[in-house]
Amino acid sequence: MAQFHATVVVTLKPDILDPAGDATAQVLRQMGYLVDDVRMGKHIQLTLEAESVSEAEAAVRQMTESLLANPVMETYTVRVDAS
Amino acid sequence: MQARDVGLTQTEYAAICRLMGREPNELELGLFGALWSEHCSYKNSRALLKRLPHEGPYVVAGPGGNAGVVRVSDDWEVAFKIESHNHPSYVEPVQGAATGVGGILRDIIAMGAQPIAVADLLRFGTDSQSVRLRQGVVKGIGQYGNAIGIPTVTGDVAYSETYAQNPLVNVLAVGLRRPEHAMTANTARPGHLLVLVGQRTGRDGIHGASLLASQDFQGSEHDTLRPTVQVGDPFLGKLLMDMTLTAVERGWVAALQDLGAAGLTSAVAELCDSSGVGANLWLDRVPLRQRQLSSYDIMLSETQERMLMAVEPERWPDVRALADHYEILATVIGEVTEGEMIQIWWDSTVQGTVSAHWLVRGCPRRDVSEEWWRALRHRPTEAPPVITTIPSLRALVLDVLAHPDVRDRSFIYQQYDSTIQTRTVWGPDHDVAVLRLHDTRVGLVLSVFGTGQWASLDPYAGAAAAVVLAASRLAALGAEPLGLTDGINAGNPDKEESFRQMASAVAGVQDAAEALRIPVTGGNVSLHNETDGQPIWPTVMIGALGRLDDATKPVPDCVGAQGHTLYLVNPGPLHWGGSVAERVVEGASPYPLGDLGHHQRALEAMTQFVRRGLAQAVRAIGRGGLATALARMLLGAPPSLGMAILLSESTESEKLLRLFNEGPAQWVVAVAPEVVDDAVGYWQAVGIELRYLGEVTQSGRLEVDERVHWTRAELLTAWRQPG
Repeated sequence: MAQFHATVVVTLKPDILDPAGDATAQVLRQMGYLVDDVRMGKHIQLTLEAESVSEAEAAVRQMTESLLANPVMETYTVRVDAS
Repeated sequence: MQARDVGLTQTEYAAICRLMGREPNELELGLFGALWSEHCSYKNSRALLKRLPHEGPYVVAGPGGNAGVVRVSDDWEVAFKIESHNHPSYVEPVQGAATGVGGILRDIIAMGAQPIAVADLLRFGTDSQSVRLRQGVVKGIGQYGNAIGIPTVTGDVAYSETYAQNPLVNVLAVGLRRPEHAMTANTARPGHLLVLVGQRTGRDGIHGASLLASQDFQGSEHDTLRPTVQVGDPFLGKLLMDMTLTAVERGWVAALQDLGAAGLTSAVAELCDSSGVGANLWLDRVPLRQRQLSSYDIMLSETQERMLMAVEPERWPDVRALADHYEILATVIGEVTEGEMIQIWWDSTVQGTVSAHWLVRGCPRRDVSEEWWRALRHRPTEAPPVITTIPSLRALVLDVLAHPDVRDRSFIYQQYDSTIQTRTVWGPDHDVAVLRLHDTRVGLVLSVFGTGQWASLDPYAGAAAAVVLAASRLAALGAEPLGLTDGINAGNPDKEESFRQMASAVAGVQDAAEALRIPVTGGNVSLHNETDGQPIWPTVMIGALGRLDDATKPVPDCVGAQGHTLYLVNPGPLHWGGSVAERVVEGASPYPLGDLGHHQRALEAMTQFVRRGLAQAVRAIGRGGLATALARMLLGAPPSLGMAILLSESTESEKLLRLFNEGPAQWVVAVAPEVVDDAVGYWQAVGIELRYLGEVTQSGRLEVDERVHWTRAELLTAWRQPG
């Protein structure tokens, strides 16, 4: 077993309304920034034990599908690095 | 694109071609698909619902508008209505339930009323996935209601395997308005501008009404419907609500319609049809969240937090300035025209032309014969069930109290803000909500109840009994009934059996409402609650609204002092059909409805009894029967108090049937010694049975027949099950 660091980035699917992102964009525009769009998401870091990078990645994908992300509304990317 | 892609049959497509005198283009077909869907057209239920009684002394607006309205006093009117968001909540529980709350609130706002309360009526399965669904739904209701500042004041929840893949999420909202701020959708006139207010339009919930809410689910098909999930924004909803109601108060809005199912299509068509006008719509002006939305997407998007106003051109600058003040978008997207045609433009080209009348009223609707309708009253016989093995009374009382349909629901309602707006006199820890109106002693009572087991074998009896129980709870406070709203939830209407079940439920509501003389001022129908051919139990959710002359001191629903005598008013038959106890012990038999005319007399008598001040405490008997009513009257009382009950039934089996029957129009009352003679005389005079039950004691426990007893702690532990 080896230790791996994984990073999961969860974002809303492109067509889904993002009230927090919209509110943030509006405030940024009020502050004078030329912002077209803001989308909020989650950045999750995990440390886990696995036999290989591919096994670690498979495990993290499973965790993401079942808990970390809401597949109905969100998409995600997974990156795994050996420690 | 073909008819079935938008959920229409070939027959319906042919009807469209006949109306138009040509084939519709894709956009036009999409509009028909949405408005001729079950959800929007009520094509299978309109012939049934029109038979419900709609007239009453307090009715200001009946069905047909965005919500029913009743008069409370010369200064106040109340808009209230129930809506379902069943299918969206199954696909995405949090947002499905949240947008359900937002949706019904906009219906109330569209009547010019300020929402003051929400109630939620929920049904879930019993498996672990249903627990997750429930958690999501409850979170969604709280998330929206709490954030927008409308209290969730009462509710109803029950469980059965039948709801595992078709949970029910029905939300009822209540709003207040001054009579002079009355608002409707039927007052648009040629020359008015059509102003779209609120959220930018995005690709949300396209075909939500026609596909999600109007077809059965097949296996995992809902996965492919998921990208259309709508997201609610309660903070924007609050701005939209405040801006809209301010514009209404200032007299700047000529006609008002919310955008709900089928979005802009439905809003424009309903507004035009009810006003007898047409419209030009300029879709290139609609503010968008995404680029590259087609005319089709814009017309059918179910993006939340939007309202449509008809505004006189000279008022438009005021409306725009008000929207700017609230930091929300208001955009002129069209104009009202003579005639009935809606012309949809993109720049200078016409994208489609349809009549509002065709969209709203053209859909071929199912009719039923008078004979068939009457025959729905032929019901299963109410032969008393034979209890084969007599269960232990001691254990059964605790099992029933601990049953998910009976137990304490505080784990749900603690997640809701039930007191914001400071009107809540009684909140979700009571069977009904009592709300005060701020400048008067007059208040409102909101009583909600839905069927489950009651309607499983006999939808007619269950639905009628739900109306009677909701009204019994108003009577327990001496409240004057103002009106009813009904949410009908059933399976696929194309199947004869499901259709018959739904119709029987509507017939039950009709007969009960007529017998009780309470008008039905509006409601909702959700069909196709069916997955893989398995329909839900036909389920009727009832909301009854009453007026209380003094809302500051409702008659208690728990006993208050030692020495008070307990009576059972209008004892039901010795029959526990449809009851929780029967379900716990040995399965199900049909619900014993009894005679509706007799129930009406009992309700009237109870209302007057309470108004005369003869009752020190009253509780209507509902789910869990007499035993549960007694336990709950004790659990809310000072801890030193107890009850000594002596049942007049002779056999063990009869005693069980007495304690657990859930027959309608029964109450437990506590009477102080000094008025016992008056009380007994009163019930003799009105000819309704008053049966002695026992006394309030100082024992701190519930005792039956000096033989079985439960300590307060035992009852409380059973009733307060976690989750």
